[in-house]
Amino acid sequence: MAHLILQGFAASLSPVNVALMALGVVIGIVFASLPGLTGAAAMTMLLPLSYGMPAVSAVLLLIAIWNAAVWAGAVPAIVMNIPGTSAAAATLLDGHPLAMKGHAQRAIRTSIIGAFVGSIAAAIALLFVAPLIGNVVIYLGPAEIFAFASFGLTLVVSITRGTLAKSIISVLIGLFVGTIGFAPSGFARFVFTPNLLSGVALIPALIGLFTFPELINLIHHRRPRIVQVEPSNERDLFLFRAQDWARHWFNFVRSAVIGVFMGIHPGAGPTISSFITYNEARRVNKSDPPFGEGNIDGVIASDTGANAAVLSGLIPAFTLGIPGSVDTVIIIAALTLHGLQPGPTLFLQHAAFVYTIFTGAFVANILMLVIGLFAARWTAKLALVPTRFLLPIVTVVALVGAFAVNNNWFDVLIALLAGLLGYGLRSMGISTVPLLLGLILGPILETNLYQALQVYGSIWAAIFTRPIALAFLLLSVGSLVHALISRRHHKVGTDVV
Amino acid sequence: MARKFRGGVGASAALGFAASMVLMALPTASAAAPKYPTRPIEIIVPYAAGGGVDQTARALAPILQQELKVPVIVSDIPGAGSITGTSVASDSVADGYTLFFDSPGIIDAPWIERGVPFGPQSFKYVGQITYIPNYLAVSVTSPFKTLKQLVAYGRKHPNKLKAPFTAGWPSTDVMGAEFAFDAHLKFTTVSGFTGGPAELLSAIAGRTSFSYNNTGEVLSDVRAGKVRLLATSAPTRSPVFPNIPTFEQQGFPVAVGVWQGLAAPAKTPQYVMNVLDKALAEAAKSPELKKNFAKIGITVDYLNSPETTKLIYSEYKSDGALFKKLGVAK
Amino acid sequence: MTRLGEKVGYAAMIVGAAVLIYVSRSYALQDGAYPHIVLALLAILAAVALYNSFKASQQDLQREEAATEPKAESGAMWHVVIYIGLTLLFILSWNWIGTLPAAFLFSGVLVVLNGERRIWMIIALPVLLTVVLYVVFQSFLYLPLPRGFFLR
Repeated sequence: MAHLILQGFAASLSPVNVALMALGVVIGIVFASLPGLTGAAAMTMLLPLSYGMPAVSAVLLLIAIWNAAVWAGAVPAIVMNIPGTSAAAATLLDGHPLAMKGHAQRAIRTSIIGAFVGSIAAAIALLFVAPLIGNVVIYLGPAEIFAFASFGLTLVVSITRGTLAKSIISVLIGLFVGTIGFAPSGFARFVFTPNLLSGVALIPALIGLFTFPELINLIHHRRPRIVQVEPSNERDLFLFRAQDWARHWFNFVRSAVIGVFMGIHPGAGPTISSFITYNEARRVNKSDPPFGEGNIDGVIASDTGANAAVLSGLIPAFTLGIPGSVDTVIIIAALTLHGLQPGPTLFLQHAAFVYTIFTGAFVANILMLVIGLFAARWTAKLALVPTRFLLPIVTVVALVGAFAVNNNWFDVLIALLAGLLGYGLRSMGISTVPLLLGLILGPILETNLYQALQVYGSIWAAIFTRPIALAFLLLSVGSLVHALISRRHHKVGTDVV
Repeated sequence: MARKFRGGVGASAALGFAASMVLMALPTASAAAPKYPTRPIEIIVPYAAGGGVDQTARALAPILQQELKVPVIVSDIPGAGSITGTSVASDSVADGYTLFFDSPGIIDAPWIERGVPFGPQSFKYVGQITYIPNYLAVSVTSPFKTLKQLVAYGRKHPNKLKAPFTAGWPSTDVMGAEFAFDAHLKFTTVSGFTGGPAELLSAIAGRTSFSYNNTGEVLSDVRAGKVRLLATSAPTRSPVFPNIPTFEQQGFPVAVGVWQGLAAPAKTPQYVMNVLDKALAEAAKSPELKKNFAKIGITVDYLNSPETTKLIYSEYKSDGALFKKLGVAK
Repeated sequence: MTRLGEKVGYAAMIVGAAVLIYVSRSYALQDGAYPHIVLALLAILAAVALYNSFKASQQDLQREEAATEPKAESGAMWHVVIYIGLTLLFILSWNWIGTLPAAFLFSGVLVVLNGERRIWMIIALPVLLTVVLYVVFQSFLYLPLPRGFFLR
């Protein structure tokens, strides 16, 4: 194994591979920093070009894009209140308030360092436990995934501000939109045009839901730019000093560990992971300002948690061929395009390949940290771009980005409709973050409940013969009760996310 | 209203003018067949990048490019099973510069889903380039060593066996339904799978009794000794798994595989079709294509235009009959 | 947002949920039960919120308005409507004149409407944006952006 790891580093550190990974990191950052363009779109468009490369280089390029894009989605979330990827939706909760106070650069730097810590944790997991865990994941069936998704849904109660009823209304709308398209039985629901058969595409909906309300707000309030406050001139040294680490190290570690587990779990992924780690940090943190008003621990938790769940998602992908997200679908595709079948034999027959990828993950992470820290300075300045330039650029790029996901014009329309819905909800004081959570978790929840009923015969058989499922369900009830009680104790503001 | 009407006339007049300008610019010699192709050709794949159909198209594109001497670009337009991309392709300009990569999705969707604007008649078929057999797979821990044992158990215990189902009727599940029907078996259907790999995982974990997969999906697990194949839906045994008998050999006339090939919108002129027919036939002979296909685990199974057309229409009819028997036809 | 807008919003949710339940009334239990529960809960919560919104006193209203963002200038709402209308027109025009020409025109119009008067800026931004879109997406990544009917 040590031999394989050394060999892996030798291969992944070849000049060509390092250059490709650096290119991937830059592409990931550029795509995810522009609202509307996503890492998934970049990966989809680059996959055909990777056909001519060796398998190792192609996969290293793709994971570099993916990992960097999940982090860089935090940049527009912080600066513009528009998450560049769905995983950054938790980042904006505290990241954007920080930017509004003139601390955009601090928030961005914190997010890149968090992402780095999370990614390294994921890379360690890949390197040392991937083959072991692959066999365990097989036994996480529909009952477990259902219970887990219910746990994710209970987060809605605690993470969002504003009245509880409004958050629940938002999540219900998300759950409903998630039912459009094929039902688990194969029946087509609410399909008013065949374009809706496979449901409302998540990424175009995300683009619209967050981009348009923000742009419309700029027009409505005649704001000359997003952030009014001039960034402070004194040098911000947060996380460059030992005392910051003494205070926050546990948050990094906790979020990284939770994130890695979320990445391995089928049906979770970076988005759910970042919400869970954010919620955990919020639960234990009593410092000022409160979460939701610009607490740096919120940014640490969400970004560490998101990136810890990125590369660890390769564990089920490589060992079982099971993709956890669009991005892993593309990575599996890159493997099969080069004649490598993901699955149990991948580790046996192509060990050199696998270990080159796994060690390459470390190299890609370091490149991301270096390039990200360098980029943090000037990406923070995005918030100062005048509205009259920002508006046309972001609108056009967002809509082209919505098209680029599936090369489908209908998705562009979906983005605009989602945007109008988001604007309407936000002007009623309803946050759209729970809607996103409902839209992601709804189909997982329903499909796995339906499947569990068919496999185990009844809901009780499904729960009581599956201890892990039962544990997660109890956990969700507990978390719900806890959140409801603590909501009663703390006066909750009426701010809108 | 009048204004709008006038605007309409103006627009079409402008169009007519533009069209006549274009016509004037073209060489007037229309007696000989126009030269084709002179600019890049786009092949629409109605599935996501990296899917099975996309992989085949991308393996074929460079070879076609050598034959046609213009760039051949693959565009994926996924969505709604394969309906979005197929609709776009069937509706595109029939000038030979937008082609389509066809697979069984085009003959199944028109039977099942409402509002599908295409059918097999929406395309002209250049030819089939590959055929991918499907398999019925069980976990190695399963008590069923042969298809016969599975059928015998299933007949004795109706609804005891759990069969997987993926929404949108991929060809693997059409095979499963056909098999259940021919063998007079009743299964408990476990639906909500996202595709072949998820079905296989569920079978390995013992949550379902078996799964329906294509070659690529089972390859790794068969070699690792986790999965046993009981039958293949190909008309003959697959060269990849020569010891797996076909359904036909075991007494069930199930032959549902994934054919893939090149097609063009129905109104494409004959001189274009002639060029494409020749290019695909030549590409099929190329050793480089064989190598490209082997890399992604498929074989070159070329059929010419009339053969492909005949096959597609006959499968269109037989699938329609199956869906009607199953009660899922719209 | 005024209280009126909020009331309209909740009413729209109730009506929307009712219409969606109505159109899906024939769905089988396995397909219909879950969306129906979601929609019914949505309608109930929206109804409660609507009721509360009527009940809320004038005092609450004033306090809330003071807490939210500064009131937009009159006329700004028109800008929002124009922006949304132009965006819709932009999307629809993709299939007519093609994405790139549409993006050129749309971004130019938006720059002007947002108060830019320097002529070189009005030209530079749309040109740069269109060129970047063309180079990156169309010629490098082969994104099949709609080309419009006369460029096909």
